[in-house]
Amino acid sequence: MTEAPAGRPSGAAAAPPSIEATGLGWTYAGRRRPAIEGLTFRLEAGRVLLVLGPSGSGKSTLARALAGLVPHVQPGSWQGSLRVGELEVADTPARLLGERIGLVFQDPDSQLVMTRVDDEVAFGLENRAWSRTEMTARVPLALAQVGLSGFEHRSTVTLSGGEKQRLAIADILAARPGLLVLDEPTANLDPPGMYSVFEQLAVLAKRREHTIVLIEHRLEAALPLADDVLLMDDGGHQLAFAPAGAVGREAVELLDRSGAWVPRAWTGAGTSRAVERATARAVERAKARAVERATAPASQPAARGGRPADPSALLVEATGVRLEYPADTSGKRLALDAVSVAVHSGERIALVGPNGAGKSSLLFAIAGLLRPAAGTVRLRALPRNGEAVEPLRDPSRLRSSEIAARIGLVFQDPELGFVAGTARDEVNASARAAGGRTGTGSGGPDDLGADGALARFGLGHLAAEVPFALSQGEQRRLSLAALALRPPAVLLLDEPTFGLDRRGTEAVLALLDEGRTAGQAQILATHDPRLLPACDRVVALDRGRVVFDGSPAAFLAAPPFEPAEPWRDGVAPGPASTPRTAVP
Amino acid sequence: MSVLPAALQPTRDAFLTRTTPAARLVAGVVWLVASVVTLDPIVPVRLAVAAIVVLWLWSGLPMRRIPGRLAPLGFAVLSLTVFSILLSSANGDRTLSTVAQIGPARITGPAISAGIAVGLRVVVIALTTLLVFGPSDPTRMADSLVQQWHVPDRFAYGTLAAVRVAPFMAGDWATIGAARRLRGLAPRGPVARVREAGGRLLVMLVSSIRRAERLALAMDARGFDSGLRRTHFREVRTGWRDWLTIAAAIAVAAVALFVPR
Amino acid sequence: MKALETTKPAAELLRWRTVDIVVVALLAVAFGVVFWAWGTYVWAWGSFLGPQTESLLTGVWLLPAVVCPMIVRRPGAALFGELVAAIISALLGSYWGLDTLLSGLLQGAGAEVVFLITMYRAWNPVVAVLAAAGAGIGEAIHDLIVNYPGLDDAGRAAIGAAEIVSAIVIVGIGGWLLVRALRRTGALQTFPSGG
Ligand SMILES: Nc1ncnc2c1ncn2[C@@H]1O[C@H](COP(=O)(O)OP(=O)(O)OP(=O)(O)O)[C@@H](O)[C@H]1O
Ligand SMILES: Nc1ncnc2c1ncn2[C@@H]1O[C@H](COP(=O)(O)OP(=O)(O)OP(=O)(O)O)[C@@H](O)[C@H]1O
Ligand SMILES: [Mg+2]
Ligand SMILES: [Mg+2]
Repeated sequence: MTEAPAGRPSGAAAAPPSIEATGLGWTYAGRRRPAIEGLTFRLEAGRVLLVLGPSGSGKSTLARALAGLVPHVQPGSWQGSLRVGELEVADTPARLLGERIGLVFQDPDSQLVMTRVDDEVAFGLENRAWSRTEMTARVPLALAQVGLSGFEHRSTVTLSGGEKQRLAIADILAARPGLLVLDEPTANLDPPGMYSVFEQLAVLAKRREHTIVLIEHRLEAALPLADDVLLMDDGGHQLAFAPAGAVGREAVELLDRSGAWVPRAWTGAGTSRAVERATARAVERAKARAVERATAPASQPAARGGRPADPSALLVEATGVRLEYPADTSGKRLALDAVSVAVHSGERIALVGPNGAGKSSLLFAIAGLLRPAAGTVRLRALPRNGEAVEPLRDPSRLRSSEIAARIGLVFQDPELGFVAGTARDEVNASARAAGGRTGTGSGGPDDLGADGALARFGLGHLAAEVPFALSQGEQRRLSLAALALRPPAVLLLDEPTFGLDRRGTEAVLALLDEGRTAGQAQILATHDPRLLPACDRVVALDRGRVVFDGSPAAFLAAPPFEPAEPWRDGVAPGPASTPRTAVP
Repeated sequence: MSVLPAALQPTRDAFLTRTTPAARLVAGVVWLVASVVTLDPIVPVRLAVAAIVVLWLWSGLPMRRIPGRLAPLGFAVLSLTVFSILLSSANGDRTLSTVAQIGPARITGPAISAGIAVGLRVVVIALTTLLVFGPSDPTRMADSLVQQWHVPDRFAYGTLAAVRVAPFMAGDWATIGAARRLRGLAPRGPVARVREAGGRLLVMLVSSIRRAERLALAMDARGFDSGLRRTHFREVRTGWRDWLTIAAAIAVAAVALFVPR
Repeated sequence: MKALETTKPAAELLRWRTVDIVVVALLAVAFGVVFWAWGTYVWAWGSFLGPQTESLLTGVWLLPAVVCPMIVRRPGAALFGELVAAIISALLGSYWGLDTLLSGLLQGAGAEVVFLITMYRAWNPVVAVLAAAGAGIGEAIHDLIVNYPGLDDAGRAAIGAAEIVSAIVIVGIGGWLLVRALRRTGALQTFPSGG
């Protein structure tokens, strides 16, 4: 098929289009309920739209519709009309839409195609039949736009998460689309990575050369960029479409009730009552101990409430852990170096650090999944009533059945941990292995435990579904529900709240509180500074070494990273000073 | 995945790193065919020597890593040689004299030389493959096949994208095993082990399929299926080095085949 | 307002979408790695038991020829899958090197012929077994010419038979069960085989 590019001459910028939806609806093939229904709004050209809604409300579906992937690539049924500029999406071939629209997804690793940075940026231009001269001129410009000048010949494998995501933005900017659609572009990025992405977005927003549609859970960073907001409920319906500064009380309340995050600026009080309460309590506690903790040497076992810690309450002890991965070219790749951590019964630790600092690796080492090259990891179960305290043991020498009672680990990618055919069996499998109550999986009275655990996480209606067929947020909640029936002594969570809406986050925190009351030791690897105040201690890793071990208050007061601001507030700099109402 | 050999990359600029992958492929096939058409062991010996010289002088590949790379083949070469000798049809030929007698099996001279030829052939094939694929990365291979041989570009670049994300599978496999162990589901006994490996494989395939779906969606969002004829950012053109490489490969193959000992 | 159903006509189902290409390629890369590991760690030991026994292990090399087409149901999937898997195992440094490409081509072609005869319409276990046998025949043709040129007729017949039996058991039956298991996880929903 040889055709000249039909829309516009290659190399020219597309004008920012307006977006007009009228009764827009979409139902995925095989689903009965529409993913979105009855969306009706008009976004003027050159404005920034922020889409808010709980998990599963159809935000990503709207993004796909704007890029024409729905209905042209994915099967399903379409209703109503969606116009991007003068083009009706359902009647326009996806390739014509592709010339005007750029779409950035959540996971940078599954949207980069080529192995070298310049090849990667050129990929989309080659697809759109640009000439070599145009490409050679355009590629460095697009990279410069996201602050990646000089990266042309780097291998994409060696980029950090934030760099990869900015590269993904350069990829779509290169083709000079009029409309940018970004679907949670900063999930999984460390705070500086997120910062740099939002900085780029702020610059783009200010230039008004693009219409921008942004989907983000990190509202405090995203809201300052937005001109307009679209609020959706969990049925995929539109709650409101309004300028960001003029959202009605009622709509905010409905959004809050649907379980979504709500920007602090709108509620006055805060994003979520439960999170807010837990946070406030923790901040009080932290403040009380801040001075004492900040001055204590890092290696000393944690003292709780001013008393020296009870030595039998020590549940996890890692000393001088050194961990190496086999390197692909030459030498060893060091993931952890001389890392020592002690965690006591009833203690919750936040593990923070840049992408690649070794957080996941440390959790793996504690769980006995990776054998340290030097140093030791030892842990023990909680003594049950009356039993003697068991000695500390090396987790890598425990039998699989012994481990299950002692350690629970929720992986960064929950899908990889599933073992059963239905969500209910998934919960039962965990409980059975850990010697807890189990059901038969038949839905009979024995299953009350499992169904109760599912219901807690809002998964009751999905008990008989295949775990792999659940959405990302639902999968994460399922992996947590599986730990609810028979909580382990040591709970390790890798990014437990990423991509979760408010309701999901609250369910996680409630489960954590319960476990802590029962004496569980908890370690949370996280990029979300919002979680820190809810923890007792923060351990910061940088390039495999512990660079901080102390109270959240002390960490937030002086984050041991350069630059420090992103770690402190997790709120990216928006052009907050410039009120964004008028369209130039 | 520690069991896999690390990628072999040229460490310096060399003659072969400036040739196009397509030309090297032609040259490689010439040697492959030359080593397969006869059972005279002198041919693979000559080709193997030539391949080592080229590898050393003109490939840009680090020589010290080559033996490690070929080591896993040693065992298979040995067994193939032994069985080709034992089971050769020449052993049944009564006009040939017996060289050795192992139990009921009688071994003749031609059987031995043919067996050695078959074993050496494998060595030549392995070395040639290094010369074809070693000097440039998969991206250049795809560029070359698309621009020089007009391989359908959606298939070439789709495959390239898959090659890029494939290493994630190794990590997935390890993580899946870890998750199962932590959940108290590590297998005991051989039957449980096989079943567990099956379950693990299934989860890995499922997550790979999902990864591929996300990648395909991202590619489509960048116009991969636009129906336009793709242009090329990096041009690949057949140069004098390519012709020289092919001509040299043919010349060496002819010498190996036809020059009497 | 208008409603639009995007159910594809039959002709559309024969066209390769990007997702078909990438999924087949990724599975094939995985199979390529399996080939490499199988050849290096299993086959090398098995080969000490003699060519006939060894031939019983060859079925593993034919898995992409049946599994890939059974998932995406596009013409050429058997060939494409086998070729990519062969290239990957050659890249990793397999025993057979470039020759793998040739055998991959013949194996893929053997299965492709069977799917072509059904006009890419029938995707049941019987077709899977027949396609596996087709791939096995392709494999046998290649091996008898390249690997066992010096063998007597009885030996050749035994090897050919062993390879075809291996193909039917490992690939026809095993491959079909694998695709069925995948379908049950809901992972194939975007493919015609998922429904
Ligand atoms: N490919 C698909 N096939 C079938 N159903 C889908 C598909 N993608 C999404 N869905 C369903 O459509 C609904 C909306 O999903 P969507 O991904 O748009 O939600 P979202 O608002 O982006 O959620 P999140 O915040 O968790 O990303 C959900 O019920 C989801 O399960
Ligand atoms: N399987 C592996 N093989 C080789 N290197 C690895 C492997 N897993 C991780 N690494 C490397 O080890 C280092 C630590 O990785 P780790 O995943 O522990 O970081 P992290 O702090 O969890 O990062 P993130 O915030 O991105 O999740 C990184 O440099 C990473 O590239
Ligand atoms: Mg989404
Ligand atoms: Mg991590």
